[in-house]
Amino acid sequence: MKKPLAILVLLAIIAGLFFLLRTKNPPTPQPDVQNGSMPEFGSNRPVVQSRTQSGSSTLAVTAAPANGAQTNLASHAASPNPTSEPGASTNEPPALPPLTVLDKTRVLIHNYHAAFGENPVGTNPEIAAALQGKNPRQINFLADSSLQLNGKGEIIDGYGTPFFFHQISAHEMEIHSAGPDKVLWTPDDLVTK
Amino acid sequence: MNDKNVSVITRRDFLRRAACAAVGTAAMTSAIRDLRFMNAAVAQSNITDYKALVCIFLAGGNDSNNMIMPTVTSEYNNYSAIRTPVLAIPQNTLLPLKQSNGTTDYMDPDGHSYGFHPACPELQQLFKDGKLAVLMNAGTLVMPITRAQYQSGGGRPPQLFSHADQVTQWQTSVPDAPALTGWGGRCADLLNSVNPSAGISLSVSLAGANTFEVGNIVSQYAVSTSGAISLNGVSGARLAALTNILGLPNSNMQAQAYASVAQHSINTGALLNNAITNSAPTNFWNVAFPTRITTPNNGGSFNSSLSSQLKMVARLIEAGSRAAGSPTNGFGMKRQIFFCQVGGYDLHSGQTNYNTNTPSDVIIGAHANLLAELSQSLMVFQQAMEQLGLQDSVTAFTASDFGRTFPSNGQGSDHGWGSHHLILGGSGNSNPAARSVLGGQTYGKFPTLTVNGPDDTSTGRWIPTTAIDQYFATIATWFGVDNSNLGTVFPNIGRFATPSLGFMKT
Repeated sequence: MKKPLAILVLLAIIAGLFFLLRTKNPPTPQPDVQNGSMPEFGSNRPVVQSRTQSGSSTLAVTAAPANGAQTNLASHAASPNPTSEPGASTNEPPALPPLTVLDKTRVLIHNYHAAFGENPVGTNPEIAAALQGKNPRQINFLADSSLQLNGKGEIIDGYGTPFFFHQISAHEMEIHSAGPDKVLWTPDDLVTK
Repeated sequence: MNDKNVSVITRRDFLRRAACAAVGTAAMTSAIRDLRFMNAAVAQSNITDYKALVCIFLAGGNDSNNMIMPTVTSEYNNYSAIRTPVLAIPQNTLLPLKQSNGTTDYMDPDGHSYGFHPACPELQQLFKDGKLAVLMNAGTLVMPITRAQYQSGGGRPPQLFSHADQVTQWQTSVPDAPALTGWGGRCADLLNSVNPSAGISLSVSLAGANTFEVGNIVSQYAVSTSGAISLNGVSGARLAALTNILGLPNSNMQAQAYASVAQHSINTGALLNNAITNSAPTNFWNVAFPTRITTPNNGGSFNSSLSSQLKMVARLIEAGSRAAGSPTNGFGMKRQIFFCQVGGYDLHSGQTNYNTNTPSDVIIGAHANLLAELSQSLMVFQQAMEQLGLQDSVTAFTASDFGRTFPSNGQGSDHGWGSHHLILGGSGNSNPAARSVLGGQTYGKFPTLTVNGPDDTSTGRWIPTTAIDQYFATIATWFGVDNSNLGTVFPNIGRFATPSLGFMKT
C-alpha cells in the first residue's frame, strides 16, 4: 500500500521540480564571468537630488522643484562634451548627458551589490578598481558602460569631475556629482543612491 | 525477521527527529553559552564596589586629526601644509597638553608633543589634572595590519569607510563576524549577577536602541534626558485602569507576554523616575550642566544634547549607586553601563568657517562647535562625579565610526579609519594612588602624518596601530571582566599583542 503512494509522491516531486526549472526567471542579472562583463541592471528608479545648501542636507528635485531649489535638471540632460570617446582614460567627460552618466554609475554599483551582496568600498579610485575587476570574481563591471576614468583612475561625472562616493552602509551608497560648477557640496550638485 | 523489530525510519520520522535535533542543538548551544556566562558570573560574585561605564559615541566619524594636533615644529608644519587652508588650525591657537605642573609641555615617549583644538580648553585642563587620557590611532582591526598588507587587500575589516558597518563594528568589537551582541551587552551579561535586585537594567541608553548594549541576557533600557519614557497622557485613573487590564490573565501567550513586558516597563519607569526625583533635584549639582554651549573664539551658541544626556547619566549613577530600600530608595547597583550619542560629525563640508576673507575663522564652525560641546560636557560630568565622590568609579570614553581623511576635500574631510580617543575619569593628580584612569598621558602610537607614509592607506586614512579590541578590553578589565572571560567578551583579543594598553588602573 505504501509503495504506490511513495512512487506517486516521487513523481509529483519530479514534476514539480521540472515545472520550476522551466519557468524560473533569475531575479537579478547574473554576471557573464567568461566575458568579464555585467549586464545592466536598471530596474530600480534612481533618486536624483540636487543640493541646495552646503552640509549634508539635500532636496529632491523632480518635475516641479520646491522653492529655493534652482537647479534645472534639464540642463543636466544634454552632454556638455558630445565628441568624447567612451571608455578612454581622460579628463574629458563622457559623451553622455550628465544625468545618464550618474545613473549608469548608480547601476554599476547596484550590479556590484547584486553580484557580491555588498557595495564596493573606499575612495573613487578604489571603487573604480573594484568595478574594473579587482573583486573576488574578477568581474569587470565597467566594460562597455560608456563611463570614463581620469588619469588618476577615478570615475568621472558628466562634467569631467570625479564622483564622490558616500558610503552609508554595505547596502546604501550616495553618489555625488559636483555638477556644472565642478565643485562638490554646492547647490548644483547631483546626488543619487 | 519481523519488520516491526527493524529500526525503520520513515521520511516523516526523519524530518521530525531532525527538526527536534536542530532545535535541541540550538538550545544546547545557547544554554552552553549562557551557562558559560552564568559560571563566569559566579566567578565575578566577589564584586562589592560600584563602577560605571559611559560610552560617548560621536556619530558620523570624528575628525580627530583636528581634535589633537602635533606641536613639534616639523610635524606641525607637515600637518599645516596638508590641511591648509580649510582645515589647518593655526599653531598659535592650539592648546598645548601640559604636564601636571601646568607649565612644562607634555611629551610622549616617542618625542611627540600635542595641542588640543582651541575650542577645548576643558580637555586641556582635564589632561593637565591627570583625569583625561588620550589614545592615539585606534580603529577596527581583524588582526594587526601593515600598509603593504592593506594594499594587497588582505586582512581588512569588512566595509571599511561605511558608516553603518563601522558603527556596528565599533560597538560589537567583532568586525569579522555577524553582529549578534555588543561588547557592552556582553559585559552586562557577565556581570549582571552582581545587581541581584536592582529594579532597572544594568544597561541604560540615553540615545535609543544601540548595538553596544545588546546582550544575550541583559536588555538595554532606554530613557530620555528627562527620565523614563512613559506613556503619553496615561496617568492617575487611566494608568490604574491600564495596569488592571494588563494584569488580567490571557490565554493568548503572545498577548500575555506583551502585557507582562508593558507592565514591567511601566513599573520600571515609575521606579526610575521616583529614584531620580527624590535624590537629585534640579539644584542637586553644584556644577551646572550647560543647556547651551558657546564655542570659544566667537563661535556658535547652541543647545547641547550631549550635556543633557550626561546630566541624566549623572543622575542615574547617583541613584544607581545609592543603597536600595528605605530611606535612601536607591537601586543599590554595583555595575552600570550607559550609552550616549551625539551626531553631526560627518563633516564632508562646512567643517570650519574658513573663507578667504576671514581665514582666522578656521578655528570656528561646525566641528569646533562639536568639540566645544564635548569638551564642556566632559568637564561638567567629571565635576559631577567628583561631587558624588565617584570619580574613581566612573569611566567615560569616546567612540566614533572612524577618523577622517587627513587631506581636506576642499570643504571638509571624508571617511577615514584610525582615530584618536578620550578616556575620562579618576582622581587625577589630587590622589594618584586612587585614580582609575591614568590620565595626563597619551597611549598608543601617533601616526606619521604623511600621505602615502607608513601609516596611510593611500589618501590620508590612518591604518590603526591599536585595535579597538585592546582599547575596550583595557576598560572592561577595569570594569570587572577577569582575564579568564576576556576572550568571551572580546573573541579576537588574542590576535593582538596585549589586551591592556595601560591607561586604566587594574
